[in-house]
Amino acid sequence: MMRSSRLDRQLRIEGWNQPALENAKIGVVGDNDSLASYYVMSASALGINQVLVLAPVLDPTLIEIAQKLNHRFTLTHIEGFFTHPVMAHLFEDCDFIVDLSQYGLVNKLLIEKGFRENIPIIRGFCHQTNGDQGFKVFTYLKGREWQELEQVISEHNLPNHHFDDAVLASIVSGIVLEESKNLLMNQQPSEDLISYKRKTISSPHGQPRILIVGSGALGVFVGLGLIYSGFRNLTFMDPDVVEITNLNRQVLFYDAVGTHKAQTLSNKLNALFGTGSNALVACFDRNSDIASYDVVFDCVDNFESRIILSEKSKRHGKVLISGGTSSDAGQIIIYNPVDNDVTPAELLGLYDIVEKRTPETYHRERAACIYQPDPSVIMTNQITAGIMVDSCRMLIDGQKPANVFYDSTSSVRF
Amino acid sequence: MTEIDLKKELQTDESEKLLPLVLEIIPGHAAEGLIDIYEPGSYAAKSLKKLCDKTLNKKNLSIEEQLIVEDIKRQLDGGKLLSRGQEIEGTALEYAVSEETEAGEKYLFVPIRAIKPQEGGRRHWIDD
Repeated sequence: MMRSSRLDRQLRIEGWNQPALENAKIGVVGDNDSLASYYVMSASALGINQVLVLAPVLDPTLIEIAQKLNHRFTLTHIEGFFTHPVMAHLFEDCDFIVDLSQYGLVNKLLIEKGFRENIPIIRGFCHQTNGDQGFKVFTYLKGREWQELEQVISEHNLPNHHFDDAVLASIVSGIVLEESKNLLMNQQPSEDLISYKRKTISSPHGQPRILIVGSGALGVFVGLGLIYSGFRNLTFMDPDVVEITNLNRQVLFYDAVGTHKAQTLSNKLNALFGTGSNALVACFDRNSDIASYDVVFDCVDNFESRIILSEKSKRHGKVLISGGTSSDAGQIIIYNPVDNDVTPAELLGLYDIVEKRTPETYHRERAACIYQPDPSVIMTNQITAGIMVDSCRMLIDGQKPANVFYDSTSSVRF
Repeated sequence: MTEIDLKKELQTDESEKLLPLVLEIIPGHAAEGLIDIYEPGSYAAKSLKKLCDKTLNKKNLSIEEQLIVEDIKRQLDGGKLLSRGQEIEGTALEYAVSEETEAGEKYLFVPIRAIKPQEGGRRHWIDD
């Protein structure tokens, strides 16, 4: 009962096969960075119960969250690097292997194993080259001996110092988990190399005053991303309390059902990272004051609040980073008053949509209907939140981030 | 592609205004969209929105094209037409990039996506 309630929002997705996730065993090869830990945490939230990781270290905070989220979750962690073909036997009973490492030797050994034994290999990694930073994800299946493989082999053959970024790692782990889900549910994994790239963020970012409106799944991952990026002056705002059905994606609330989301999120982050974030247990409305903030994150779950956020940000000249998700898609719209952009509400035509929802039609529909919450999963939330935080970093660095419409079912992701 | 790169590409000179314009309206993030070709002289004075309306109201579509139009209309039920994540205002030339076919024939290309905004976890009520 507890399990089905926790997973309720994803069990509502048409064609969803939860037993395929729960009965799977996934092998993961990691490195001395945060990527494998992010993947393990997200896999546990999704209801994957068995993961075997070969990596020198794992992030204790993320692993603790993984274990507290899902009581059936079993992690086998073998400390070390994959340096000899014989180590491939560790993964013999795994459905597939996720390669999140940064050394070419293991990349080649695993692809060779995948080819020889017909085992899928999902490859994901962050990179920094020639003034650019980004990531790549590619799913290798036997028969896909394509040119893309050249792009997913690390430059150095042996373990070495490499680029690590927790925000990009969060996005990569979300995409790799989508690919994992597709393989386990016999859905088509992406045929394309999924890649994301932007200019290297160079300047230190200072401490802008940041308001995060909405402390649900987007708010949780935006909070984590901002803190991992070194932002400290954060205020979370949300009137809601944690429900058990939030726990398939709102990963920090595993022991907080019934508590206020904003306060709990702030407390958890402060306890885990020694930060001093604040909370406002309140609804964002026309009386809310944003004058004292430099950047506002829109992580809410309804168009009405998004319109108010857009209007207030425009009136007060504040940067607004707006994110929205469904179970398979997400959007990130940036409003920067310096560039005089149109607001997210204007760009997305939210006024027209909300105008059609007059109170009369809403109540009339409600009288003849049953309650139907939207399906939701962790992956699109962590991907969308990661891009929101990365967009914030780009803005502060003087770059101009683009609006992003992400679709997990499309070959064109970014 | 950065914004600066894009602006450079978007700058069309006078000679390019004599090129045909290829408009592709794509439902969401699908790989393929509805393609329409406008000859030089037929699009320069018209707003991009009007060209999109004209393309979407085309008759004599193939079965495949009809399916794409249905997808586009589903997206536009609560969605909008955007070009490279931005609102479409002004003429097609403001959004066009110059491309050429494998045979070396130049044309102007404007990709448009019909995007339905994601609301989040709002609770809906559906028919019992």
